[in-house]
Amino acid sequence: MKINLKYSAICLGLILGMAVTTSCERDNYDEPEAKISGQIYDNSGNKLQTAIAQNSMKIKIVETSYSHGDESIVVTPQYLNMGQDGSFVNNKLFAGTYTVAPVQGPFFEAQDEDGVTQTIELKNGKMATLNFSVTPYLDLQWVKKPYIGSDGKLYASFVFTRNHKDGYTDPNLSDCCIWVSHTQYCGPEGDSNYTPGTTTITADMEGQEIELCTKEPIKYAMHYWVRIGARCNDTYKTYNYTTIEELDVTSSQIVSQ
Amino acid sequence: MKLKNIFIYGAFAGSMALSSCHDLDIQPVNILTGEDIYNEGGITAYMAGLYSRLPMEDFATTTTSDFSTCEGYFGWNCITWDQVTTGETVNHNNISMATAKLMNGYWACGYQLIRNANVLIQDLPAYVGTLQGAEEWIAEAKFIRAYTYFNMVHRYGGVPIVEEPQELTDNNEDLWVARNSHEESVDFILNDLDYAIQNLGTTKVNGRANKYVAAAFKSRVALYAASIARYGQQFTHTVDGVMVCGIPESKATDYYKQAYDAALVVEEGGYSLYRNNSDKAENFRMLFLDADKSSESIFIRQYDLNNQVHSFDYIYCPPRMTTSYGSRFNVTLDWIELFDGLPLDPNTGRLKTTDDEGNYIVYDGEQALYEGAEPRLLGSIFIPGNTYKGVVYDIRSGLIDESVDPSEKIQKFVADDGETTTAWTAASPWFAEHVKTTGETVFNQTPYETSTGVQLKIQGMDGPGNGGTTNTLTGLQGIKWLDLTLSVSETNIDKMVHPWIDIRYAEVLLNRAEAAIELAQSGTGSYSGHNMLDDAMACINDIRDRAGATLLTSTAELSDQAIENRRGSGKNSFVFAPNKGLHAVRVERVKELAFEHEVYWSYRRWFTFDQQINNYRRRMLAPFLFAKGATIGENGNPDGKYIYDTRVCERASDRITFDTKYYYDQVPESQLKINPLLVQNAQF
Repeated sequence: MKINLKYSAICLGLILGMAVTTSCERDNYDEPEAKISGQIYDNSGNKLQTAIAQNSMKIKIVETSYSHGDESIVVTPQYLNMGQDGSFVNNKLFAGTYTVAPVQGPFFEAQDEDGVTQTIELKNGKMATLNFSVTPYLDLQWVKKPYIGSDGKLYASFVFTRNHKDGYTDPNLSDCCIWVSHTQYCGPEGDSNYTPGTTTITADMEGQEIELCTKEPIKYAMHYWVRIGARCNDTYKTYNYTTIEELDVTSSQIVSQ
Repeated sequence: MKLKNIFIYGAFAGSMALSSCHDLDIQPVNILTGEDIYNEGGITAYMAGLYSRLPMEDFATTTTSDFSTCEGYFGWNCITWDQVTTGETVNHNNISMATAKLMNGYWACGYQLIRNANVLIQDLPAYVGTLQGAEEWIAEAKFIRAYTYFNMVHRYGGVPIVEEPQELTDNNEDLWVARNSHEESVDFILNDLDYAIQNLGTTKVNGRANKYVAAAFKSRVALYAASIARYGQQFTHTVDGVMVCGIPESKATDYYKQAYDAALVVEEGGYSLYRNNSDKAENFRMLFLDADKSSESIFIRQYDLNNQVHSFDYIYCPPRMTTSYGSRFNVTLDWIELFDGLPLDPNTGRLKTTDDEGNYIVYDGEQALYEGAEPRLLGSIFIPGNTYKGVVYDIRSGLIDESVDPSEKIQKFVADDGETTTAWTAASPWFAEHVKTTGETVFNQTPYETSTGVQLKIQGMDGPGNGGTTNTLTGLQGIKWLDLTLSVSETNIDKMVHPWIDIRYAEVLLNRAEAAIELAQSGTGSYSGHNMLDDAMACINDIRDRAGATLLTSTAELSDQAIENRRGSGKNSFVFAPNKGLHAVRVERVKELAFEHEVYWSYRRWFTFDQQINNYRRRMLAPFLFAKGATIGENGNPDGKYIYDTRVCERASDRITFDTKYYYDQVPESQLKINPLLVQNAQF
């Protein structure tokens, strides 16, 4: 039997065409264009001071609508990063219904019945806003704003007060520390050459001025960002923070070594 | 086409189509049937296969998933290990601990092994009477199952208990199993081990379980469970009424008693500490290389060049003693300071290499510092000036130029407070002026020539690492497990076959002592006919005596007097414990069982990890040689007077912190997706 080239070509073309076009259905799921932002406040209505990313707390967000109640579809939670002032934002989420909660931070852990977990429907192209209020373990206030001492080191002092929440045991106090940074991002990621060891805090120090200073004299005349944190011995051991203070160090304040 | 041709083709096609028309009933040759397994040769071979897949933390354990064949096990490339997270070692190539979280998610491999054991446990009862020793094989399968479950339980907390092989049905949901509570999981393991202790024989076969192996393992499991109950209450995790992480505190005493009892069973087996060499340092080193014949080995894994090999020495030797890789075994100064016989500052517990005015003490020769040190330490690390594998070990951070006489008082270069990271030259103008260091590779360094013509290498040939080499960053190098009989050229990838000791009698003694002290301090002064503190003291002293360490003199040293837990607050303050007695036994454990994948798990079960390894900077020992008066010694190393600086590792100064979430590993997300009943651990 002679193989007919023409027929072969047509057959091959048909098969290839079928193979290529069967998958040509459009992806029917929209790209993640839903957006969420929000702010965490403390119990007195101030912005909660947090560390960047997930270093002091995170936002737990769980998509609940995709599975339509089918138990065999498992949805794992996502965790959103924080700014330094208790704000968060994410603009690449899939549209759908989510539960959102602030978790694993230096505050009395949110319980669902308190209404801290919120449910929200996110729509493509829209920014939804969601604010939370939590009770931090500690409130920190500056007493002496950062200044350079005669020895060239950076000094500052603060006071802390403990918060209480009905139905919860107060965690034990742990320690505090001061951080100095060359950028606006200030916290444990600051310049470790200046970071002293942690100072233990105890219950009788509540309300008293606590002075901290850097381990080394400040080396360069430039702009610095400074922050103090204090923490409790809870499960997560993350810090409550003061606000960030900035200062310019002039060359006359540098003590040469 | 002609009709005839159609017939011919038709007949041909028909014959093709029909030729295979008989039923396919040939047995597949790659599936083992009961007939193959349930006879003496079959079961022995099958069981050997199960042993070879046991998730033992041996030489082939790696925290780098890319190199393992089974979720963290059986990989040649053990370049990172859990000891870098505990302050035992530094890895010169990876100074942070980010890759060392032991998070390779051992799960699927575990359940495969458990299924195999379950099949045996299900089938073998039918062969009792026909297959010789069927009862013992059941007990052995239960040991394998318990061992595998424990590996997962000490990672994750409670896991799904599957007691029988699951049947595959059309419905996936039939295979879903939820996690049991942590307590149920531990009890299941202990139950299997009790069965194994009752039914296994007493014959000692290397690499295989017997009654005493099961008992020794039980002491490990029960001690773990007791510690979780006593110290882990802050980290419990309960979902839908099931406590998947954490064990009720009320169970602690019972588990400590089980651990103690199991240790006593091992004692009946005639195991004892290895004391084959009268030189205590050499004895301790050889203990790890004489595992096949040692009276101390309880459960070991053997290797064989054709079947199962490892590459430990290749990766962990100093670079000059291996063909490639090398030097991941940089022991920290903090760990060295736990040993007796070194000059320590009593206030800080740190090595004191200066006089009370802060001027360096001058040591005569490269070994003088180690004179009088505990033999166990000398058997755990390389000592400068000694010859290993034909190579003279040479450690030196730099040279003090000839203008300086060794009698001159030299102020300490940089503060040793565990915090200061300032470079030597920046911290000390004197250093900048008088001390020679180099960044050249050790083999190509320009020597320093003295006025008498002696050529001195500025940098030791084995470090500390200077940027030009991959030598030790701490100035110290571990020797445990390294087989010095292998020549340098033999020290190559996949060429090591010396055995791994998974359980040795020293661990059982330490388990027993720890359980006894815990019992004594919680109101059980005597148990099983023993006074708890007396017995604990005897166990610790047995180990200390073999190690050449200072013995405990009275049980008052094991009291429950509270101690301060702060690094740098006194002798052995690197290890945290609630009180004096527990501190003694914990320090002993960290010294004796270091580099055995043991300390990591202990810190986890004591729940001190996050406090001990909290913004911690690892420290180094840096020797400097006086060029003045130095000569070349008989061994080829420079011979002269040395001073030692102690400080935060110059080239591994990162702070490391153990995050509390790692007290329980993350359940692999892939498993959560195929088994929707699984719940995740807290903080993940």
